[in-house]
Amino acid sequence: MDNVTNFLEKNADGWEVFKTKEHLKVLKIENNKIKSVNEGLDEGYAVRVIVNGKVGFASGNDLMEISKNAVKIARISEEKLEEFAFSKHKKAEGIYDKGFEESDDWLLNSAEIVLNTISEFGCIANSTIEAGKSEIRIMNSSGLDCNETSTSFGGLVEVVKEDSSSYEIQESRKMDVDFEWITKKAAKLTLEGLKAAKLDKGIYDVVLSPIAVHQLLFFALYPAFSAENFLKGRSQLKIGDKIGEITIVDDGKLDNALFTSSFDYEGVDTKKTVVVDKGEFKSFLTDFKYSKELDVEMTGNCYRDELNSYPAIAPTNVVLEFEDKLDWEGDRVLEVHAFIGSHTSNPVSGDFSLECMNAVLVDKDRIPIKTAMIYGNVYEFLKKIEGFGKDVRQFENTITPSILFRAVVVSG
Amino acid sequence: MVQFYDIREVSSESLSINLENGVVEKPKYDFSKSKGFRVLKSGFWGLFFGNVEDKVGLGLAEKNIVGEGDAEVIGIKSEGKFVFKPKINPKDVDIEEKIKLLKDIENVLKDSKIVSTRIAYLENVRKFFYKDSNGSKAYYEVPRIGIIIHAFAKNKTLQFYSKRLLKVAGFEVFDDEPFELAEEVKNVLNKLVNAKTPPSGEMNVIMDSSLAGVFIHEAFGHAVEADHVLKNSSVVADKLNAKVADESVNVYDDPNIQEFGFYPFDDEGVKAEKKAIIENGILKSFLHSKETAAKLNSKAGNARAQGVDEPLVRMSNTYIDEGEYEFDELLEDAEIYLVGSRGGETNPATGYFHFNAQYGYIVENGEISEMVRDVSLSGNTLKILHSIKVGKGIKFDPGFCGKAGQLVPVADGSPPSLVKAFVGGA
Repeated sequence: MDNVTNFLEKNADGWEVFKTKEHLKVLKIENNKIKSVNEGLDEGYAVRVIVNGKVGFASGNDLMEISKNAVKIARISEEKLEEFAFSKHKKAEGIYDKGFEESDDWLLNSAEIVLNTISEFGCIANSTIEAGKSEIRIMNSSGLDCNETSTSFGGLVEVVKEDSSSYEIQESRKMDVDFEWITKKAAKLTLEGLKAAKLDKGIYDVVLSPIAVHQLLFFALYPAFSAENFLKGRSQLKIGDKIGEITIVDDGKLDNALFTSSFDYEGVDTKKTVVVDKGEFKSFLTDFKYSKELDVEMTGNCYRDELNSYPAIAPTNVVLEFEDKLDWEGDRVLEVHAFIGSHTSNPVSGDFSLECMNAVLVDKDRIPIKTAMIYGNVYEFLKKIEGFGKDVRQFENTITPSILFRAVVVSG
Repeated sequence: MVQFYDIREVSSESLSINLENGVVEKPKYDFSKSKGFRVLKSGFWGLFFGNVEDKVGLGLAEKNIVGEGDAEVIGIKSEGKFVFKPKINPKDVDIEEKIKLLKDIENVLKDSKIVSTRIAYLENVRKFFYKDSNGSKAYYEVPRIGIIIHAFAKNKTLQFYSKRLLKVAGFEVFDDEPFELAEEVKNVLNKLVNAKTPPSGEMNVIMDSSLAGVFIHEAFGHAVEADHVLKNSSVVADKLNAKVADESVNVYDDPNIQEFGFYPFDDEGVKAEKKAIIENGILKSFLHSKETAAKLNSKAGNARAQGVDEPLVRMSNTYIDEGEYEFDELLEDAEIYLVGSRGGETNPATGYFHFNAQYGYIVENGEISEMVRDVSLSGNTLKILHSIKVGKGIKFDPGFCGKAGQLVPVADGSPPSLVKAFVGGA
């Protein structure tokens, strides 16, 4: 390491070394049988340097080689940065479960629960059960040297019977994933779907599950929160815009949450940022570079999808809030469990048209629906929110209950 | 007793550069290598990936065999070496020349309505070495290169449009095409910012080559991946040798075509071969790994992985072969003409698919009229294939296909085709 820092000190005006060590175990169930266990150990580095005020990036396994390549490529860069971030951190809570070290048993026990549960339903289950540990260390020329270890555990169960299928997912920082609940939920939706009927085109009150809410907002709305997208003319939003009555908070320090960490992927302290307050757009999400360019506070939203991804702004845990909590039991609503093709939404205009998966028209009875398509513009759609339910959960980034949207055009 | 083992060693060297609003940003170089180990014993797979000696890796993989199963693999031995030598090795081209290319493309995009641009350059070389317990040994080096042009424009609405040129090739691929694509991006965006939202409902739709390619990949290709078939999550699981499409329909997967999904050997070391999926409307074959081929008594050669991850049954260059209809004949029956794709998704278990076109045109009395934006297409695959009218002239579109968290390069191709499907719009 000293060799490398000496090289970087000598050849760059600023530098940052990002190191990861990932340990992942994956158990797969296919056709109601445990099929395989896959284990991976991945270690690597990503280096950013500033040479003559311009940034270069390289990644891989060999730190010295990477450092040389980062310096080399910085020479053609025109991306300006004066220095790397230095910040103190408040420690994040509830993101490490030491049980990971004995997770082999957990994988097998979880698989047993899935298999026992599905046997009650007479369906086929395919499942992926994962346990992961991630160690991150970030050092830079501004004097930063921080590290953090976190764990994640998760299960995806897909249930199939005849021409009906469904899936459910749960992830947690701890080994408390409820495999019985996941399997039962997917199995019930699948069995219900066997009797699916056609839906008439019309206007319906629609309840989106937390999965569907995330799938819609992640692709159609969240990209507009990025300060980089705003500064480059790729966001619809500007401070003060009104988008319904919803409150949206990005909280990278939320206890036990899936995207919680003490610091973001360039070492900036994570925090709670009110992005939308009762419908009013209040703040963009930033990384170090764009907080400077926009002259606003750092929000700690620098993220790297993979080791070799260039650091970029992304949401952490996105908490949705709304004043009215509703109980729509007894109302005629169309429940939507998930969407197919949500990544096809337009991240710039916010327009979307999505096919529903496992939709059920709840009237006097529950009538499962074969096909239903919901379309609109996310900024208009958010104004249709009538109330929030009580089933709050985190699905990927988003923490929300089911949401009731009034008078939505649905095509059958 | 160990039934089978294999070892994969993959290295990947990549360079990417973005030109964002005229500024060279996010220059990135990556060189990484890793090894993947699989051991099959008592019908159960143990896998390990990481940078360790072969013996250690196989031991760690075997340690993960914690039960008994019914997995088996076909016992084939493959040997060979393939090094793809591009006409102009990108490494021999100065990085300044690559930046000049990006800046020249950006110049074409200059227009009063365009508020933002992003042009990405990428080059990559994948080196792959494979050996297994049957004595197989395969090696290849394949370069990939390309540019992706994104532009954003504003008038009545803020819109974006993108085109990409991605090939298995060297720097020679950048002749006139990037500039023609940039010109197209500018012209389409100019109209797109004032385009209306489309009508919705079931209608006669012409899919252009790009969208029809995505259709066959998403809506049908995934359902013929034999792992889906064996997991009971394919709508065509029981339809081998049955009629699944109009008899004019022929669909192939061919990794030997020099498009973005090209590979000389798959990630199980099997020599690449063209496979007929549908011929004269009859479902002829599924796509297979060594395991699914053993279970369904067929041929392997379609297993692919991102890096050294677990090889899965995947497509390569998948296409609908030429039909007999001229474009004008398709127009006569059409109500809407959809162009390009922003991606899509399918549920192979049910056959329902959904994808978004980049834009479209209303068709009235056989004539193309006004442009529409944010238009999507959905329907049921088998229903659509029974009444499809396939046009002439195949074009391939490159992309990355995701499955179980792994991305692999693919290309989808088709002539323009007329189908009856559900159109929806924002």
